[in-house]
Amino acid sequence: MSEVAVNKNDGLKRFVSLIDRYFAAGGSQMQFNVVSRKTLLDAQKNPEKYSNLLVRVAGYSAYFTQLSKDVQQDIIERTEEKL
Amino acid sequence: MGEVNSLQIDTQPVRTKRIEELHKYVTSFEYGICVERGKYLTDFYRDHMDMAPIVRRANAIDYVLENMSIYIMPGSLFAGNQASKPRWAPLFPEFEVEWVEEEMVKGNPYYPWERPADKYILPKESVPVVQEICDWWRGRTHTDTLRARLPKEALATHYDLKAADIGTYFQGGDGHFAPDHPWLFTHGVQKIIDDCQKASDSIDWKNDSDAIKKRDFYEAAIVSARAIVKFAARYADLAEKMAADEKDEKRKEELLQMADTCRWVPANPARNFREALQFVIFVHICIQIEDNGAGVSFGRYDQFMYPLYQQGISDGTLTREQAVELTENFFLQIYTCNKVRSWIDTDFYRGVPMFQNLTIGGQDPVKKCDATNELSYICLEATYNTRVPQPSLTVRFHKNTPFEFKMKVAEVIRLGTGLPSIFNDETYIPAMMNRGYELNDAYNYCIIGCVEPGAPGLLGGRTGGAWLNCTKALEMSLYNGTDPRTGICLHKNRNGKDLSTFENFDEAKEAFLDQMAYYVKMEAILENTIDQVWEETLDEPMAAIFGCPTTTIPRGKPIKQGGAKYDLTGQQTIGTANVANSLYAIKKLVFDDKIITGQELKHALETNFQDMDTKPSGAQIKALCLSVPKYGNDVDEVDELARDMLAFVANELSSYKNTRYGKGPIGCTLHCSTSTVSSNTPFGKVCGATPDGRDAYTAVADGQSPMRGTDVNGPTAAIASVAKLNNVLLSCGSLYNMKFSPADLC
Repeated sequence: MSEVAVNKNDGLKRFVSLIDRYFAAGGSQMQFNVVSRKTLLDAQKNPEKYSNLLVRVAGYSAYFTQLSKDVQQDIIERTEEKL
Repeated sequence: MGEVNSLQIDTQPVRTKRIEELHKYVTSFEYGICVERGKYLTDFYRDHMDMAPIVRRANAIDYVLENMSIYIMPGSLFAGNQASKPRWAPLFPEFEVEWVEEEMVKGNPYYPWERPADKYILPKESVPVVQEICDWWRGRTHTDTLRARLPKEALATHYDLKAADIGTYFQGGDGHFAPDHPWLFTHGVQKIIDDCQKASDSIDWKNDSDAIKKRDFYEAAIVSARAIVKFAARYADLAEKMAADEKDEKRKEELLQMADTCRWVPANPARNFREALQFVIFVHICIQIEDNGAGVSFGRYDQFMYPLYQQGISDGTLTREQAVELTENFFLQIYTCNKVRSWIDTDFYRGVPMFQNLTIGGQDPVKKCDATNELSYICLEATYNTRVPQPSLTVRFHKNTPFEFKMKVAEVIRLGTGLPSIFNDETYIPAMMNRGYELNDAYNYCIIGCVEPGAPGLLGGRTGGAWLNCTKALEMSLYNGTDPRTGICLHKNRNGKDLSTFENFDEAKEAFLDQMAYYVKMEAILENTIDQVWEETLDEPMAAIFGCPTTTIPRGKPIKQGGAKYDLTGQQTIGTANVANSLYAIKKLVFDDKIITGQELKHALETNFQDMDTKPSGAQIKALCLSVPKYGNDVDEVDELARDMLAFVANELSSYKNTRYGKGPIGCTLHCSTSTVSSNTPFGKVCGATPDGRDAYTAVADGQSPMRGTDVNGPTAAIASVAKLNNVLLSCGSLYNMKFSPADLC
């Protein structure tokens, strides 16, 4: 995994802090999509290029291009949070 | 880093040649339907209707395991398959055949291979077999019995109103438990056979009024335990045969070792890491053949495998690299399992999930200290490298989870596969204790299915259950209990009023809680009727002896008769955000600020904000509704409505007993979760426009997340809102989705 380690991990540290903060406040569970709107829209247009793209639907992950349009839309429209 | 699309696409996994080839092999299969289980099960049932239900079921599954096709995947170090090909799904006609016949034989609304999503191949030559299976089962299925047994209101709640939906448990089994894998591979299945024989021989025929039931249970348990041993022996034979034809010396040796392993486990205790995994696979696969319940989970992999990992490392028979490869091989083996659902049900389960959850991290149940170990890291690597949706990896965090581990978890999340999800011990453990769990068992929880906690090997019932559509209950409360889509009214508001006649906000809130309480009652009737019918006709020996061996065997009871240590009926509550936002909009617009009247709002909802001739117009009213602050932005007033409403549902649910109450297990009530699967889209399709500004028939909010697109004040405000909910009441699990751009996590 070290091969993909990126230049600096500031974003990742902020991400871990956010989880800590949520849990300290009494939150129970979190799950994440880490994918840009642009990628998802492109995957809708060119599914053959993205046959391996996994996303989180609810308590599970699935291949994005195999989902129905309405569930794809639901994931696209979820707020993209800024850390 | 600049533009980052998706690290899944931009980065390469690290795989050995074996894993690379196995991954290619497993993912090369299109999903399909295998009729073998359905056919063999039907053949057996047809000729043995005189047997006691549990004995018949044990023998029928034994017959399936003896006759179904088996295969060993190229390069795999493990054996065990659920259907004739990887990613093909068996048929379970004993639950329901209507949809099977409609879809697979008649193509109504689609043939499985023509569906717009979640497609399955069905070979032409299988269609007559499907027809024959349906012909025998028609009128004899679980669903047929349920339709006859359920009260009219409960059926209307499920089929017509969709205020609650429990279709999954009409059409299939419970699943949703974590077997006692460590107990099983430490003792071996032969011990089950011996213990059951001994217990059966010493039944107190003089005094025990359950003597006959016990004898049936032990007979079924012994048949099932022998069945899994014979099943393993079939793989031993196959591996030997393949070894004889194998040119590659190394592979020949692997196959011979596999044969040796399959002759030893699961009959006997596993002697090393690899044997334990093979044991786990056999148990898991057999459970997945006994019924089609999803969410059959593994428990705490890094904990129960660790002693064998350490043993292998210290005696030099296992390296870390081998443990990684074996774990990845195990993950890919598990990914071969599949399930086919009716077209209607796929709406609730988009993307063919199996919810085979695997938990890592957390705390030691006895020492109460951090339990992260090398295998926790190995599982993260395996998820990173295999990049398949199953098993669903879950990580437990607590206040002393090492920072280094959390960073590693975050790195895997950044990949964007949605795995793993993260759980907080500090709320989950008290939530479980609130339902009666003992301290050590609560500390030993694993995640089952999506987000539901349970003590592995000790929990019966099911952590999944009906979906409760709170948005629908809210909508009906605005129309004095009538559903505007169907015109059906099962329960009028106690105050007899509607949105145009509520005199203050309390009346609106009271009407909603009244409707909610009524539909929770309907849910309880649905859940308990299913369980009652299950107990009478479907009780399962494998789920009993593998799921809860330490209690079912001494008690001589399967799960539905009260065989588990803990037993709770789970469910999923959907639409928290929509209800809170809608109630708050009514409060602000109609009563506090008096900008519009209840009558005007009601008309706007009835016309889906489309009537432009009113003053203000429909579009203006929608804009007003949208402008009211929403849950997810750290606004106390609306967040507190979300908290109170969800707490009401949770408390109401746990006031209902399930069918095992007083029969031995601890708990035995319904309890609440906010898991959604993909039900927020089909539930949206039956709900008209709502006062939160949501258009008619569009998706409602998922889990306990804010309504999509309405959390606009950044992640800190969003998490503050979600954390305000009374999460400790959600003893069946919490679900909160967040989305980030990959560039943000670099």
